[in-house]
Amino acid sequence: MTRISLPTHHPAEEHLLDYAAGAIDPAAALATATHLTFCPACRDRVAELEAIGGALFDELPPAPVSAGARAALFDHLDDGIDPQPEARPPLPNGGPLLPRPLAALVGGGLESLPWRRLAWNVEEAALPVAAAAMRARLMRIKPGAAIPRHRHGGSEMVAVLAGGFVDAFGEHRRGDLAVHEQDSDHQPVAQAGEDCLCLVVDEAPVRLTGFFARWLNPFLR
Amino acid sequence: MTAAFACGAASGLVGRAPHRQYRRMERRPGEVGEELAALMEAVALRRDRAAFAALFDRLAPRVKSYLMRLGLDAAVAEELTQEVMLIVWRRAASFDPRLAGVSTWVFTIARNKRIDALRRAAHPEIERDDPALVPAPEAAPDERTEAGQWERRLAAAIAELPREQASLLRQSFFDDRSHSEIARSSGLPLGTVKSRLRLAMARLRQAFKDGPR
Ligand SMILES: [Zn+2]
Repeated sequence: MTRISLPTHHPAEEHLLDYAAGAIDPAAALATATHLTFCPACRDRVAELEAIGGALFDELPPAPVSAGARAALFDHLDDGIDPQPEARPPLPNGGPLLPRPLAALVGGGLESLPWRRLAWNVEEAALPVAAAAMRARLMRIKPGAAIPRHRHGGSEMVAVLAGGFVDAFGEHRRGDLAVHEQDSDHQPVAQAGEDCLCLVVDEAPVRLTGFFARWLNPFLR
Repeated sequence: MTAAFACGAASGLVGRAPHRQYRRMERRPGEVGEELAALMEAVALRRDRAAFAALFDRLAPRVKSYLMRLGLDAAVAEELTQEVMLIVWRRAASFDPRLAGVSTWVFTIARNKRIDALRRAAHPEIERDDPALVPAPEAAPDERTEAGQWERRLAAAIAELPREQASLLRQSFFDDRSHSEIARSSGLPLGTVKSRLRLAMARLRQAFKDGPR
């Protein structure tokens, strides 16, 4: 058994707070849950943040529940046992083991996704996250390939699922979560060895039109 | 929205009265936490309806309050409260006092139920049996206190936070706004919101450490 290394790039406190409070875009929640699956330290921090939620919840002024509603619930306590646990999505075959919330979206496996080539060495596949305002996609980058220098109009989260990349913020491997704020400017290079597979969540891009639009680099699409 | 729990408030059925009364829980916060945990155990082990009635009377009004604070109208909040409390009844055996206090556990169920109902989207949860889960490294001698005891320490620690920090925490949990949305809507610089939240967390983190309380 190979030693499992723990992540070194973590989301900031306020991102974990948004997740624990349930006040986070569903696509960003997916990226956060992906990191949490790989990161026992952040799972502990989320448990602490949820306990803060529990303490605040406990202080709320009680809102009386009607006697009828209470009685109706008690009448139905013995109805059926817990419904069957939801069917577990089958884990995709081939490719890295994906955290369950992500595996559920990938469904039939990585190769079943509608991959779209952005450059000869980079491809992406959109992931439909219900109710998300941010967009989620998987990106697959060939070993050693560089993503052209780019800027972000909004914030971006990148969760590494396989392989790795290096940028000004250091080396990123499976389990790491990079969070780039608006206007950060970086140039990731995939590491040698295997394909770099990432979950990328960012603000939906502004659609540019006009003559110059087609000259813009495909990563802004 | 109510598919999981079909009876609803409007059915007008009369429930059985609990056959045994538990002491009312108007006591010190710490004792309330322990008492709730004992009630949860009675529900989990013996399907004790009187224990569940005591849990209901303590927790359901807070669940409803939480949902209304987040903008649901009273009727919808009450319906979802029933669904949350039904989950408490059915999943009592999965409550683990080493991982969370009762209020925290119920808060997370209510949070997920709200997300489910409002967005028709699930809050992605971490499941302990996920084959991809990376476990914590070899258990270090635990300097943290049992999770069930956090709530009482936290209540005291929150009461001592500077007002602007406590207020930001409440907005995070009860206004359905991310920290950047709070910054935008309050006109505070994003950096100020972040640093206040981080200061609040640094202070509260003491509550999770062992030591004389
Ligand atoms: Zn982490």
